[in-house]
Amino acid sequence: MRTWLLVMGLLTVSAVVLCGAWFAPHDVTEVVGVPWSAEGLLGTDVLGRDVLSRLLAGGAGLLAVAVPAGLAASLLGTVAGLAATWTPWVERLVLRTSAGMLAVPGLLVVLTCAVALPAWAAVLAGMVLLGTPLSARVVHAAATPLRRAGFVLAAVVRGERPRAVLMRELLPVVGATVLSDAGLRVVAAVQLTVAVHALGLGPQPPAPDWAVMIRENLPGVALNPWSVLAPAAAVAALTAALLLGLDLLGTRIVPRTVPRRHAPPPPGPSRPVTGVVELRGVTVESEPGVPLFAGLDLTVAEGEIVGVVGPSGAGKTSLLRLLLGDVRPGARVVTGQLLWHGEPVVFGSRVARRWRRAHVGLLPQDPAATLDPLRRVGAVAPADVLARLGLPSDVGRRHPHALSGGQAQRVVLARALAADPELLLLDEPTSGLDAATRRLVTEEITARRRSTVIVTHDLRWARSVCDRVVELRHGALVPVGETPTRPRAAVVEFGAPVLRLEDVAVARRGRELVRGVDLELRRGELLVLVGPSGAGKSTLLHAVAGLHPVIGRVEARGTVALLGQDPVAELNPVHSLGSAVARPLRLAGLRRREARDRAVELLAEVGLGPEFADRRPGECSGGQRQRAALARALASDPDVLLADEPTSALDATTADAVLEVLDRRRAAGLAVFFVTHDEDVAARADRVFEVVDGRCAERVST
Amino acid sequence: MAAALTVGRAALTLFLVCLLVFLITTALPGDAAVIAAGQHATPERIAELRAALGLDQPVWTRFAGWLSGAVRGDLGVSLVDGRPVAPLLWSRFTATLFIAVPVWVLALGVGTPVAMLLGWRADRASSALLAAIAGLPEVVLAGGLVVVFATWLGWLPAVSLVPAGGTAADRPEVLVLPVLALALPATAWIARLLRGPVSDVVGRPFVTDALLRGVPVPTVAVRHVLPHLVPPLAQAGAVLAGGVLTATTVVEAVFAYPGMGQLLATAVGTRDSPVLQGLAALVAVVVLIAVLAADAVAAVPAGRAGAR
Repeated sequence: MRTWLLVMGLLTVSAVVLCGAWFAPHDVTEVVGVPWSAEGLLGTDVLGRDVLSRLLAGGAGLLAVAVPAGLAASLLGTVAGLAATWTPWVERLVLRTSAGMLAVPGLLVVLTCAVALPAWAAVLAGMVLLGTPLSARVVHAAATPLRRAGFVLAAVVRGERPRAVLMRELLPVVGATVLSDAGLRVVAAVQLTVAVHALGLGPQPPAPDWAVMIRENLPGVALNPWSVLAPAAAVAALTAALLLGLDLLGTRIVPRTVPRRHAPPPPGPSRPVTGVVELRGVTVESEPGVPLFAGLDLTVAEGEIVGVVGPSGAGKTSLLRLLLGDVRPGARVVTGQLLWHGEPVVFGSRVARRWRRAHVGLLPQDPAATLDPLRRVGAVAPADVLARLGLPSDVGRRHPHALSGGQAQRVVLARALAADPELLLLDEPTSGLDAATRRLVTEEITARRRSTVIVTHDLRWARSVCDRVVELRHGALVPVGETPTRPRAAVVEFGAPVLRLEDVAVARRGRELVRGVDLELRRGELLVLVGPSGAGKSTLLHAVAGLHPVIGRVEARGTVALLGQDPVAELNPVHSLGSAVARPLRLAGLRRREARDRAVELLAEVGLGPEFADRRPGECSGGQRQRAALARALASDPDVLLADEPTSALDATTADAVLEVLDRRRAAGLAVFFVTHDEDVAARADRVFEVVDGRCAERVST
Repeated sequence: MAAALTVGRAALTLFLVCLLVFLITTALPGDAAVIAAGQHATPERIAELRAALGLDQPVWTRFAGWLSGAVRGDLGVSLVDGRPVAPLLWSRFTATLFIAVPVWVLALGVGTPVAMLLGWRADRASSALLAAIAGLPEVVLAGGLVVVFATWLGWLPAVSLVPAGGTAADRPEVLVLPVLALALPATAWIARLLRGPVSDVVGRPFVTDALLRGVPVPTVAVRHVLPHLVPPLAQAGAVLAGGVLTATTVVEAVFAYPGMGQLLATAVGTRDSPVLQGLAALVAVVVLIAVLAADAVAAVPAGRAGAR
């Protein structure tokens, strides 16, 4: 907690610069010797006055003009930038004016204004005119991605006013950006002020000013270099102090994740070599405390084709990345190793890069995006492989935008096959393919008879192509079909209906995603909605919560709370878990003290001890964060909980804990509308609805 | 059609800039007549001068007159010494190009690789350092450079005097310090500006995929990242053109180099509005041409990538 030290430092620097004249040994106009002599600590200036005294007194004018001008631009820009994240017309205005203002030379504007106005007013006018739109652009760019973060949506759903959402939720999170931008604006204002003063438009002689000192003493720089160097260094030091001080202050406001220390990975147990490539006991954390894989084992034999299936978000793509000897940015391998013909390949090393370039072919997910739009197809893959895959003969001269989706997929497959790699990795090779291309890709894969790993969610296709199929579930691989089933929850008596949807449809960007949703949710009921990714499940949930326009009739009798799926975005990184959980209670009218006590009880209900009340999300694991988000959603005692895959990113234990809390609450009358991919969760439901081809229907239990 | 619209919009912008500058520079409490008449002038003498300079006519009439002259290349006469503005402006502009062009080339040529190095991995310290360099006032750098290179080392002249009747090309050493004083912050500014686009491109699927396939980093940088930087680079170059031209004001005043910037500084000091108006119009023309050129350059990769 050195924040106060930084603030004190910045204030001290400002105070010293502003009050420097008090410490001056001589009067600033007093002649103490001949011009540019060595009299005094820093010598004398053009008129024989003491440089040190003038240096001490010469920063106040600069600071008094530049800092308010810079802060004014930053403040106005921050307000406009935050407003722009909320209101579309402000957003258009900010983006348009800021793009134009960037091309306007600031000094020209200030000098033009300086013809009619005093220097300080010209700098202020120039900064407000040109700096405000730029600050607004920066703040808007930082805040916009958070507009749909879980903690912002939760605040909207619990009925916070827009101003409260912007000031309490968004502003603290972008605080670092705001302060660092304020530093830039202040420095720009210093730059302009110094220029205007150096041109003789600011303080008139004999008033001391750093910029004027540099200018008037340059002719005598050979006689007394300090008469120029001292004020130049003072300006440079002031600039750096303001900039770095505000920037550092910004980094202190938003607490960053504190990585925990881990013991070095123990050497893997020696086992006989069994395959071409092998993952042995690999444990990966997607970020400190959030496990992605726990003790992963996978062996691919010579010529074997292995299929990997699993729900979305289970880490199938990350698994392929491990087989490439790499981990995605931010994640780290805690233990385990990758073996190639029994030889270890170190994750993320240069050796791993050379190895995969020589021996591994990759067909990534969404292959069209991995083609550089500026490079012709002929530069990507050799002509003979392209022809073998049935692509037209002129395809080599085309740019990627002139390819259809299926052609792009085949081009990328050609790139992967070009060197006939010993190991081929395919990520969802059949998604979005027409029947002909699908057959072609299938033939290429089976005709190769070399080691291949295929990630897919199409189990039937995987069974037809692969020698064996495994399932990735909660960070471990299990043979497909052996998934444990959780016990069904105790039967609860259902009460009165609390939520009714009649012929509801939702659309995004003019395209209808789901239509014909008819359902009724009663007290105590757990209703699960399943369906493929992109089917509009989350959008439907947001529409019910009032976050998205809805077509049809939604009738809610009682209060609604929302729980999202991303444990990183669910909680505001700035607020402690205790204050996050207490906020809905405060909004409901509880006093600070009562809300605080109740928040500790709620945290205990989801299995978090009282010590968590003071921790910030960055100090907690993903599972702990998701529990706290659940406690916050339950804090206002809602009648309906809208849960958007709250367990998908969690390990099995935490997922069970979350579901158990929900079961207890359901016994007390809470109705839960649960959107998920996870069939395990669906198995606990009272009723399951399914989205198939844009229509929602109740699943008949078999 | 689209080209005509673009040029039309640029022309409208130019007209508005000229009008705004005209209004600001003429809406003064004390005008050029007061300055020209001297400190002890009688009100009658000032009024006489005002009539002689045409300052007693309505603003709109004067703007229309100025505009019709400007279209024909006549920017009026200086209120201070009565010389025609257009030839004066042109000779100073060409002299300034000796400083501005090297600064522009250096800033883009050095700033781009620096941006690519720093943009590859986001890091706060280098960002703050670049901002601090970009934020150094030119007069500070000029003062520091003079002390080091002219006074202590004695390698370069402290004042950039140009031989009478010649150009700076006759004594290129006088250009080194002014160019350095401008190029250092400009380079840092370009690097700062391009860092964002660099990290954006580095995060795109075709770059991450190339790295995942094991293509070496330098190859990826040259083959997949650099071509995508052309549009933001062109944009930054356009903005820099206007920035460098006006930043010469302080540096030329400090080094006593007879260029456009020095002319601007004097014109602001003497409230010589015809010179100011001409200067602003010239800078606006340069910026607008640069922005149009940047748009045209950016359209090439956009067309290749299939964007309309």
